[in-house]
Amino acid sequence: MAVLINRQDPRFEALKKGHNMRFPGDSSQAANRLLLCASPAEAEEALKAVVGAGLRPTVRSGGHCYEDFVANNPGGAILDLSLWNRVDHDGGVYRVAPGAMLGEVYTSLYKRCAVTLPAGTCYNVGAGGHISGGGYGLLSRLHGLTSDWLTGVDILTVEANGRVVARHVDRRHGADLFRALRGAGGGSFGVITDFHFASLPPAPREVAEASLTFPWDSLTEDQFAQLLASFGDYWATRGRDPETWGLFVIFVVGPRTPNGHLAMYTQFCQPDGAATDQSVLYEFLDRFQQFNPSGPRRATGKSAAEAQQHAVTVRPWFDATIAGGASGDFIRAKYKSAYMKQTFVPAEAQAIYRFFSNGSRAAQSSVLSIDSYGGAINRPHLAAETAISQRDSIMKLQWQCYWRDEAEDAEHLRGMDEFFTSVYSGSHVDASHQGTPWGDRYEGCYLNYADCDMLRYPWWPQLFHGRGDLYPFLQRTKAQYDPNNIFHHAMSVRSA
Amino acid sequence: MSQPMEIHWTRRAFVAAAGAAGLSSLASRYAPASRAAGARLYAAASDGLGALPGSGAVHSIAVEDHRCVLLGAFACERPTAFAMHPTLPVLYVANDCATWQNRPRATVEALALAPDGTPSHSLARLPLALSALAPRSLAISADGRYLLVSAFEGGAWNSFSLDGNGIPAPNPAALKEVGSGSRLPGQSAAHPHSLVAVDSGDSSLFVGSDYGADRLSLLEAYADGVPGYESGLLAIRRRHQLPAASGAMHLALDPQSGLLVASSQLRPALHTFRIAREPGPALAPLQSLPLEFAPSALAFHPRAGILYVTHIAAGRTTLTLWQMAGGSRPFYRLGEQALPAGTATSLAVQADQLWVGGSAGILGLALDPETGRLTGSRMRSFYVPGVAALLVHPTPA
Repeated sequence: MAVLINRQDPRFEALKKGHNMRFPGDSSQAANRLLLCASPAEAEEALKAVVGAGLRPTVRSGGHCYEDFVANNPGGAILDLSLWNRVDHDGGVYRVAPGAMLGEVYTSLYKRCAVTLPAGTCYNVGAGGHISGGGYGLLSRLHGLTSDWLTGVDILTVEANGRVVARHVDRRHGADLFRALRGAGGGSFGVITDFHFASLPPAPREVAEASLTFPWDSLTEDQFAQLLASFGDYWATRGRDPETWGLFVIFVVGPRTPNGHLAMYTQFCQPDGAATDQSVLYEFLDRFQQFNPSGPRRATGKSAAEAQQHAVTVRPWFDATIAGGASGDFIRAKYKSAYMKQTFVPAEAQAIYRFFSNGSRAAQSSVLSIDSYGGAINRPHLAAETAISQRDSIMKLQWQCYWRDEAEDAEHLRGMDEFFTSVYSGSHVDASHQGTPWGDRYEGCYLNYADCDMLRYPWWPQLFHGRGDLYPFLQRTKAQYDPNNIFHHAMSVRSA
Repeated sequence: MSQPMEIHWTRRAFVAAAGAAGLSSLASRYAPASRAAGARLYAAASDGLGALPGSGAVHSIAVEDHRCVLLGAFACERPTAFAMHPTLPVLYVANDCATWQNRPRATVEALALAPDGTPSHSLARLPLALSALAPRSLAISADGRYLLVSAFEGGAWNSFSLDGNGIPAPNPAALKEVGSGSRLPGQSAAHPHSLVAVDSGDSSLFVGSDYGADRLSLLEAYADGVPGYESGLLAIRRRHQLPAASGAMHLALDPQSGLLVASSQLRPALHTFRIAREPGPALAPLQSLPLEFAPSALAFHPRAGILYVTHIAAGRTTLTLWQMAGGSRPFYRLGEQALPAGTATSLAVQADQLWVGGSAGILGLALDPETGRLTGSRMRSFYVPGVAALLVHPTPA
């Protein structure tokens, strides 16, 4: 039987919230109870009880939801599956329970089977939300998205008459629901109780890591635009070559302060999981020498490769993946995202430069993470097989803003919103979709970086699910498998 | 049964009459008036006079012996249902809006009433629970402590606790329903529709109909004493299942006998119940009357034991009167009358007047205050197009 935690329970205050301290907004917006489920059977019984009582269930695995989809549930019930965290290999199939944290998943799969999931970098993100929303990480250019590897899902759905049904869906059984669960996000269709993977990529043996930093305070607006364009150019050209798919780079842009730096973090391995031939990495690093990096640099009389050799670290992939992967400090936060199909234009660079130079509290609290993307993710057939439509992008951007004081909420939220809007306003954006990453240059936003600001645009479903037939497909699937809209949040799939 | 008077109840007729009367006459007819006696008729309309195009308004009409005067219109987004606080001058309106702050949430609004009975200002406008849309009915508990809302789309009942001034607290308690599983259109999910409050002493009881689940539910709103959660709770105390695929919809409660009548739409019928009190609240079925057409609105006369039922066929509305007879077959058909143009969607009844609201406006039919029967005289009309709900309420002397 699930562990019931109601408002009188001393654990309630600690457990009612996720990692983003903005939610629940206040006590009246919190759920009235939590049900901690340690097995699919417990989850099924808990869901029956919640539906039978007419309560709204929201579902939590790791608690990293960026918006209020789970923790704001006035009078409702949170089904917390964090205790259901089994990872195993049984009957030739890898199974990952939704409550398993990514770090646990990596550790278990690596130690037991020497395989891995191409999933996120944050150790304590729960598998449930991460995988159902697509999931990506440092190996995704090499191996694709997490949900691309899914071959089956166990899920509890609620039929029209309220009956809770435990289903196993895959390509042959409930194929429509299975497709929807491969990236359309959690909280729309049911309670996932297990992910199945018939195969998984071998874990790399080792990775080569390096970082580049650039003096930020002395960089002019034009130089910054050139730097961004150069970064994007790589992914738009050379980065499309399968030889480079083992290279993943995170370019972090933060507040432009005295002695501040911009930083690129790189990780590389060859398709065979070794990092013995680092020429792809060096080639990438060489591109940025003209911007005077303070990381690996040329030394007189030495080749670039030789000069950088000492700054490139090779270590076991497992060490690199587990070390420093924690995240989700309990803090107030706001996130945004954009998929980019082409490199940066000057107008985008200008908006980014000016925001991080304006000295505002929002700018001081924010970072923009520009991730390399594409590679194996962009294999065309995956768009039709999964519920991730963005298969042409070369970069994915994540806006992040962090603060602690509730009194500063409005200022930070407004600052982020204005910043994002400014980047996507101008002639580089489709005239009728200003303020959003829409048009030939973009592929919208990432559902796992949920952003309720986008709800003000009537085309928000197309931003997150693409402009093709995916969203209508999701609406049909929703009507079939959750006709009562039991599972809903601000950005869940809505009725047609 | 008297013959209907020939009134051309259309926009064209209204505009022509206004032109013939001259602008000064029109102005005086619709000028704000301040009258104390009689009753106030409230009409929720989606595109009425005084409202922004495409929005809506609550129209207030003074009903007096010899004339009716439109007092004014209070702008209100897509109003669809009303409820009056039992003791306070507060009118509650359901707004059938698709979003609230970009979330899928309809809203309710509490309007303060001026001494003349017209809405003077908004006390609060609050969203329903997430995904609670298409509110169809409001009801306030007899003790004035809870406001219940049906969310036809979203399949939920929402309960707002009301403070001493009648102002609802935010974040309503939500009770999410499930459907019947019928394959008929509109029944793949729950669709709560109508609500009536039941005077039940200490408890805050309601009866609600569910179109999607073919059932009536006895709901109770109550405080649970949970710290930090002021909305209270909402629970189902008893269910009554109607025949499968019947589509429960309208409700009417006879203030004299306490009998409850529910209409079903997919298999047209009137279902009558006695609300049993002991050992706990329950619906005791008395009679089911099959009908040829699905009712579009129901209302009881305040004291004559007459049930008024409208239905729409071929774009025209027919009014049928049912007389309460008592016993196990409580109603018999008294007669019917075709109404002028327009499709009726709502009814409101005073002792001497039946108000019919619908697509073309408001029609007033005179009643014998003792028998509740139509007198056939003094049919009145107001051009307030797109009426979704009517409510009539006596004004203080």
